[in-house]
Amino acid sequence: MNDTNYQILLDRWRNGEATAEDLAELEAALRAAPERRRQLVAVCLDDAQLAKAFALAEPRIVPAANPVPQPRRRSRWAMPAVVAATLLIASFAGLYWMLRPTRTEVSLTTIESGQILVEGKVTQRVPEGKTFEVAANAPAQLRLQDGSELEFSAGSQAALSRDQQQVRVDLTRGSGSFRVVRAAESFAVKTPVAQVTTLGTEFSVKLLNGEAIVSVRSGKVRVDAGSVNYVVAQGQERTFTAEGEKINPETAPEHLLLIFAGQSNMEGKGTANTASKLTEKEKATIPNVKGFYCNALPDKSKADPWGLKLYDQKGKFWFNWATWKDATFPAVNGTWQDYAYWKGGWKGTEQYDHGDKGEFWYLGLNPGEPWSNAAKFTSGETVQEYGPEYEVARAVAAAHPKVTIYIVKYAPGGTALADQWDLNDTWKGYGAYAAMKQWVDCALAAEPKAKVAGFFWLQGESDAVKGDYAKDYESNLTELFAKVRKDFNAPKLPVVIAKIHPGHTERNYGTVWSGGKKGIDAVRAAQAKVAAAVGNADVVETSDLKLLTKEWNQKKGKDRKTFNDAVLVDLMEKDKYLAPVHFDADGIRTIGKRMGEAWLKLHGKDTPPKKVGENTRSSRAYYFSAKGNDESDGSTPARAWRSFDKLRGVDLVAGDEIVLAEGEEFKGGIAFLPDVGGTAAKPIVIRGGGKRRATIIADDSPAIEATSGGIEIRDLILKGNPVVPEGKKPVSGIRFYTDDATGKRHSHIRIERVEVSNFSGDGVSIGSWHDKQPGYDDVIVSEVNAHDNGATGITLFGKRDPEQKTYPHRKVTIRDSVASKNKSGSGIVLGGVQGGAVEYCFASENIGKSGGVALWAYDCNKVTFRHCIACGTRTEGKDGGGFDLDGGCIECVVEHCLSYENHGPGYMHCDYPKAGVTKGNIIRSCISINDGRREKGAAFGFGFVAWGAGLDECTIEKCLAVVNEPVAKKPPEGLLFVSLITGFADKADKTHIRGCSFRNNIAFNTAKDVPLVSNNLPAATVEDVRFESNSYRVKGVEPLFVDGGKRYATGDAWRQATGQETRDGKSTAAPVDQPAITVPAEYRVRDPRKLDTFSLYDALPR
Amino acid sequence: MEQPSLVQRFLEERDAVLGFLIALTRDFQVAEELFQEVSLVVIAEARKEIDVQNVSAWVREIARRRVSEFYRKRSRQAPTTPYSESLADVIDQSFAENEELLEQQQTRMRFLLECLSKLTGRSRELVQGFYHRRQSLQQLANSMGWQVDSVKVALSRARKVLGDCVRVKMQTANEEQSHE
Repeated sequence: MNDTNYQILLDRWRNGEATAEDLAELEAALRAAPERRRQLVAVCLDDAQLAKAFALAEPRIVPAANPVPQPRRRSRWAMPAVVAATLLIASFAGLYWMLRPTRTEVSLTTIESGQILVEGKVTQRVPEGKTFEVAANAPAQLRLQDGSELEFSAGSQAALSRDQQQVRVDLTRGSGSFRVVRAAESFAVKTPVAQVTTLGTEFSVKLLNGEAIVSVRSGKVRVDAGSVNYVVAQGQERTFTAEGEKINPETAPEHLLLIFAGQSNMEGKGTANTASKLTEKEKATIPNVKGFYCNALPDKSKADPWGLKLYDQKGKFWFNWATWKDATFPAVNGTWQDYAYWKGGWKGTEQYDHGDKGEFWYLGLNPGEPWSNAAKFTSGETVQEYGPEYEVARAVAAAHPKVTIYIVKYAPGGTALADQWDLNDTWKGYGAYAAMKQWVDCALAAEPKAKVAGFFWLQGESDAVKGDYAKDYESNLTELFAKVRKDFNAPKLPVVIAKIHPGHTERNYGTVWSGGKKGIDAVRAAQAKVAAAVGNADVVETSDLKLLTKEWNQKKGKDRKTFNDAVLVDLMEKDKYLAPVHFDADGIRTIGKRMGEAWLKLHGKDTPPKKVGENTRSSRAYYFSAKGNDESDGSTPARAWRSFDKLRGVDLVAGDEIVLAEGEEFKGGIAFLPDVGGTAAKPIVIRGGGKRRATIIADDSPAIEATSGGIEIRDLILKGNPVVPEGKKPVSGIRFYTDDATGKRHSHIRIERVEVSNFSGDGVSIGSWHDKQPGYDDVIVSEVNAHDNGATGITLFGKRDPEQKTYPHRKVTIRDSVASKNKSGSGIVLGGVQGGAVEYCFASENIGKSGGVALWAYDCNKVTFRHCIACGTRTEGKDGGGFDLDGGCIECVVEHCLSYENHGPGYMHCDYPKAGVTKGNIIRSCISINDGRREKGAAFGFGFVAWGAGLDECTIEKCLAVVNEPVAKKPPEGLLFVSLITGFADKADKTHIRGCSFRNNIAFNTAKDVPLVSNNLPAATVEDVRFESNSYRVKGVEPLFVDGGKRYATGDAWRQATGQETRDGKSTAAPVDQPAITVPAEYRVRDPRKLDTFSLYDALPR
Repeated sequence: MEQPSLVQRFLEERDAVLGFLIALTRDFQVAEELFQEVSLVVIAEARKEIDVQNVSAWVREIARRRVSEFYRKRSRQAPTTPYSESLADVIDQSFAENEELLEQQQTRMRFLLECLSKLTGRSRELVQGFYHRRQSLQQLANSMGWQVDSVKVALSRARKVLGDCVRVKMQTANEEQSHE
């Protein structure tokens, strides 16, 4: 192919006209010649750059809706007799049109009525540029060729002319009314103290005593007076002097400065271009509202007052750092301008040092992250975003038309109160708080009349990220408000908080927000609490509002056509925020409206702090159904909600009910905020509705989780995930936990008719952990079936008082409940309980790897196990028994219980290293059948075991221990056993068993080589352990007593050698010819309520 | 490679990447859309701290996959314009062989703007219509009151003038630099 043909082919290809044949030819040509390949690369690069070039090469177009302060010129018409100040009054459709020269022929002005004099002579036409006067006896009406009407009062002095851009009226005396009709033309009235430029507006200007009184009948006009821009809106009449607006103290007594602070949602992500639905009217400037705008570009030579560097110091915001690391900023420098949502404060080109010459308009309202608010990119795309201040301003302006409202905003995205806000100023002026204060101070300096009158706070997402941030949020927020009130000398400053959205959940966020739902709930709770506590404050709810979806966020990125660096880096930064985190435009506006309303209620009043949790609404029910609708209100079964997340936007009060539709299945979990709970009289109830229980399939959190008391859970099936979530602790099915540092004891928990299974942690866990011993009082767990859980079936735990005078929990009853197949090997465990009972409970087949006992207690006082059954406990390690009163128990009892076929002993009374006093406990009237099944060896029936701090004054009496099945591998321990295990005790422990006794028990054995009694307490005396009045029986095997390492073949031999079973020299043991115990075949009782009729109880000693 | 520098390298080559995409698709709009997709991939990959020796080749590979995917999807929906993998291979090879051409893109852009400013009214209008307003040849012909063939000729000339102008400027600048 020759070069010409190749060029033609290449052109066709470049034009997008190439056919398949052309492409094949092109390919061949390219393969044949390296220089053509080189040329191809060059033309492709040409094409790419040409596609971008025009956006860069075009003269910059000022956005149509974006008036820029222009350099002001001194009036050419200024009269020496008057101190000339320029008032520029421009319509808001403004500058864009002003730049288009118009050609109204002034000379064609007609005089409709009245008399016009030039140099004292009446004239029929108005000469251009020449001063004329209106005769003193009547006003004069003029009409421009375009139809605009001008009326001058009698005696007025003016000139009519046209300069490059506008038709001008130069008014030097008197007054004029103007009705400008042609939208595409610019019209100005200029006076020694005022220039009026307008369009489609009807207004008048009156000169009086060196002042200009501007009155607008329709439309709006901008007034530039002194160093401030004003807007005079329809219906307003305002007076201006050379210094600016003349304030009439009667008509405009207040100058209120409102501070808006927070993070990115306060900054605002409601994009005006796409989602805001702002009407043209709404886009206009809000009368009487002024925004404090930054009016300087970043400067690379001065100090950084905005704290942006710090983000990098904290290892975050690398974009900011990378881009701004060399950028420092001039001392905050701003001006007040009329507020409009889109208003540009300053513009820059090559803002980001990346080569593209973009044009950026920054909303200087928000210095922390200026570029996301208003930017016009190279592509022509504009981003115009606004925060809640927009609607607050509208609400306040509407309610107080004569008040001037000043808005200062400081809301750097992504900042946490516990981090970048640096309340303690450890970064010496570089933290966000310091920057905000500096920003507000500058705003106040620019308008000394303004008085700080409100603090609006929308922040907390970043504090929800980390557990400790969230935990400190309440104190940090309290401190913030105190600081603001102090620093701005307004001790009763109204504070309005918008809660963060509850939808920021861990699941939504993936790894970004590791604090998850709990962190968010904690922040939300703190926001409500602080708002109530600090007085003159209010909080607005946001849970019903919508967040921008991930898809929206992604699309937003993609919609940006020109991928210049700023946008790309924007995306990179935002990428981690693709998940829903920002309110949509409607959300932002609603928050603004609510905040505005809240402020109006607080303004001018002194609202005292509320009692925390104060809520006067009457209780109600919230209905849930798997077929429900989250858009509904949950008030009736027919209007049921579907997802539990709806509850996170609800402030529950005492007496509320959460009702789950009968027999239905729900996914997720219900977590109550720490303060949420009812009372015994008015509890908050979660229950299944109807006969068939509802099921909650929990994910990686408890099905139900709470801190407070006053909560009842009824008629539910809770199913969990047996796998421990990665990086997390095992999850319990129902979890009550408090670590309240004041030691508060929450009262009233009821858990009734609940099946809880397959959780990786406990089935039911009620506990606390704090030196102050917070805990729970009045707990009843009834008819709960806790099975197949990763840890214990039902458990209470808490921290021990070293003196064992106080206990975290009181009055705990667990009754008619089942705990089976739980994998800690324990069924029901009570720790830290004073006063309680476990009754009519059944614990079976709990299988632990290293230990566990079916039913047991430790660190408890006056706790009784009664009418309970323990069986089938298995363990490869220690324990594995039926019942255990363990270390730290005082005056606890096990009675009328049945234990059979457990790996460990039926009943054990034990201590542990460093345990507290273990004393005065009793095991009585209980039966053990064929316990001690573990092959590696275990004790059998009843016994005392010490391996730690020791046991005192404990009794085992009137019990029956039977072993009538062969034992594979036998330990030395017996049916009644005493065991002291060495090598585990703490240094401070003096391991001992003292004052303990076996009295009136029966030990019956038909298995070979199983001791009736074993006692390995070294040099034991009867003061340590006393055997008295027990009955030792065997059938078909020889009796065996093991004591102090010696074996005795008869009771007498043992008695004589040890002094046991002897009083006054005589034997206290029952006669040796006692009948054998017949264990009924159906001894494997599984219903504790049937124990009363279990025949073996008749054999118990009385 | 550290994230910013990988992304930065990508940014430095963005005109080349866009050019490559235009070459593969001959559709500015599609090329720009795909460019954004490529950007997202690059950003995501950059986070993985992967080690990329030849960023240009790596990015071209990403771009090619995106283009293939795009045509696959489009062919399912509607009859597609021809896309040739083997032509794409040669284009890829061309870019790989001439990487030095792809350097100094900002300088090149500056020269292009200078050259563009010297372009005469009608030619400029034509180039602007084609490249900026994305008008078709027919639309251009209509708006200028020309025959389509005249548009083609004029466009071809304008491209040549611009291309030559830029190359001369680049050459001169490089020579000056080497003399310094």
